[in-house]
Amino acid sequence: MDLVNIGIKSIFTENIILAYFLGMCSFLALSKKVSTSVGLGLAVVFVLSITTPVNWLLNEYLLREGALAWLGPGFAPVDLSFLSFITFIAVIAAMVQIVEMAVEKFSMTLYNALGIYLPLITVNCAILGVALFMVERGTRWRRPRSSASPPASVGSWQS
Amino acid sequence: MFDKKILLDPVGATNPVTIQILGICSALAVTSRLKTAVVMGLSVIIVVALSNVVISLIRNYIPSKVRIIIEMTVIASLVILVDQFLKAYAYQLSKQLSVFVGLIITNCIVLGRLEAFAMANPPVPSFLDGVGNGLGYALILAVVGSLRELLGSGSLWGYRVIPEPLYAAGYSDNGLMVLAPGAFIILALIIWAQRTYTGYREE
Repeated sequence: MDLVNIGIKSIFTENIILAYFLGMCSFLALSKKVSTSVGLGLAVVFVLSITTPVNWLLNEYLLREGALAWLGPGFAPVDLSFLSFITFIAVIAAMVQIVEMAVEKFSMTLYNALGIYLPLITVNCAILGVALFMVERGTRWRRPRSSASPPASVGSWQS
Repeated sequence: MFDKKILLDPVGATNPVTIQILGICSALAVTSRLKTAVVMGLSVIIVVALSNVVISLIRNYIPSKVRIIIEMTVIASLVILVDQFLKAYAYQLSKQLSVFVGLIITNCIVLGRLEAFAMANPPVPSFLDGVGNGLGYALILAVVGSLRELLGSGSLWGYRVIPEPLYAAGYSDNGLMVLAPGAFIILALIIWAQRTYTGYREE
């Protein structure tokens, strides 16, 4: 039930474009035609649903205060959260690169559809924004995927 | 060495926000109060100027295939510095700006200037270009921020400007200005005014 709730909330009431102004630049630039906006929307959903869980894992087990406790009690007070920006952006850049290569290898149709939009996504504020919101709201288990949907809805609205 | 055009053009004629329509996300999100808008503007000035200098210094050693990642790393390190500084000296403000300081990393203006200017120019002009673009951004933010705060909550920099008797006489704050659409409307009006004045046309 919680998951459904989060899904509905992130698509409608807390839509990242309409409520938080994230991803505005690409939204304004690419929403002139339905085809490009759907392409970008799909690419964003795709990348978000991969990077957000990965960033969540990194934050949970490496970065946040006390996250390194699994290494031993001596590591419990270590707080690496100041490194979160650089870690997240590196993960996003790397992930986008990997996703691009994988898509190119396995599905030429998908690659042609998403092709030009994938590299742009590294600098899409929405991706980093979702990762940072996730940390700020202190999301625990069961949430990582939640924010994947808003661009889909927005992608199909913008026309 | 010192070229005034590099510094001043981005403030008006090639303003990153109103002419190039870059960095809109943060321009809209942090401008409901003047104070947050100004702090955000200052942070962006620092990040753009310094990252321009750093990239310009190492521009001949960057392989072009991995340049985006290198640029991101430089920007992210500078943003971490700014963020830690704000957390240490202005904790309340950094709470209000929440994730938007971090989002300077993905601000199109920063990466745009690195790609368009710093990769091809020596450090001193790059620094000026960075400061100029940061100023252009900060100026628009300050204007939008002060209009939104004035019309939306009747105050400026946190101090009440609209006098009490006016409220008693039936004046009320325009709630729309605090919300998302207010930012759009004000920014659009600024863009319209500037383009009418300068006669700028988009090809």
